[in-house]
Amino acid sequence: MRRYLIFLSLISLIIFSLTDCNNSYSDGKYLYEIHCQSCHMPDGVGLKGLIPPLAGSDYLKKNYDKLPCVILLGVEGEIVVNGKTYNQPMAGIPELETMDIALLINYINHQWGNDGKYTDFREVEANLQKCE
Amino acid sequence: MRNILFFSLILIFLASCGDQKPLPILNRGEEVNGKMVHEKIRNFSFTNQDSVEVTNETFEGKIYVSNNFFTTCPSICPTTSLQMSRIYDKFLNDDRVRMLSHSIDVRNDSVPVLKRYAEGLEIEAPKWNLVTGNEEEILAIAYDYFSNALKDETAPGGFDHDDLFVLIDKNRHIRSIAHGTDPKDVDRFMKDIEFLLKSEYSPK
Repeated sequence: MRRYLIFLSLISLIIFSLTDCNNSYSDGKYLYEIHCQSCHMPDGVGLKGLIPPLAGSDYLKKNYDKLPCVILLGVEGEIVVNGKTYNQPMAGIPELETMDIALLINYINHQWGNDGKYTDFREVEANLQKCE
Repeated sequence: MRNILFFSLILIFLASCGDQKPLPILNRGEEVNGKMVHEKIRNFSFTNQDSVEVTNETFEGKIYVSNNFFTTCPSICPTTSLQMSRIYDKFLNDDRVRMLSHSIDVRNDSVPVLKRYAEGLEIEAPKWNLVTGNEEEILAIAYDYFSNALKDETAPGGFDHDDLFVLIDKNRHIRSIAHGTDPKDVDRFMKDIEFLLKSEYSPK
């Protein structure tokens, strides 16, 4: 009986650790689906010359420090992504908490082959101080 | 004997699926002197992204696809615009097909704003007209296309509207409808467009 219990708890431990690994971006994914996906599309490719891509986007790397402000407050005017100019205003998501923004950035920076930096609460908080 | 029965069954089956039924007229109809008379899309006059007037005559002798959108719509519009641009690409070289997207946010979507959106989508009039106009007229004509377009401050972007794509024939009648957020439904819709062209229009 005891051996059986130990075996059972080992198995459940393995299962739990596995599911946890798979879901490391699940919160960020959830936020992406609610707030970003309808414009930037499920695969992050954007829409022609209207909405810039997030997948393989050089903008994410070049403007890493600005990303929290972009997500919170939106963008107006021309921006250049992968050499292409886009000029469609993007609405911000003012209801996001600092932690949400960190989760979103980490999700976007590690999806669709993106290999951006990891950010955390403190870094996002510091970058938000610099919003124009 | 059994073989004959089998083959005749196959023949009947083939014959029955050979001819597709004509697309129905979806507008409300009334019988007048033994003939069905259907409601039609009303007269309209709007302005497109090139500042050119767009009226019913713009679509004379053609079929067109109509929908509603606005350029800052954060919810379904990018998806419906992507699906509309699939239709645009497919029928780009067929002048019998045109497209009409009404912006329901007439205050923000001026002609230059529509022009910028058209350039971003990489599309051109007169094939695909993004139009603005009198607010009441734009919101009211949505009714003719079986669509909803309402001001609603609680909706994302300030307007509530649906994702319907509507196919209108040369007699101003609605012949097919699709949900523009569902790519498979749009596939079916494009087949309806091809079928309508083949069955009721002279070759391009």
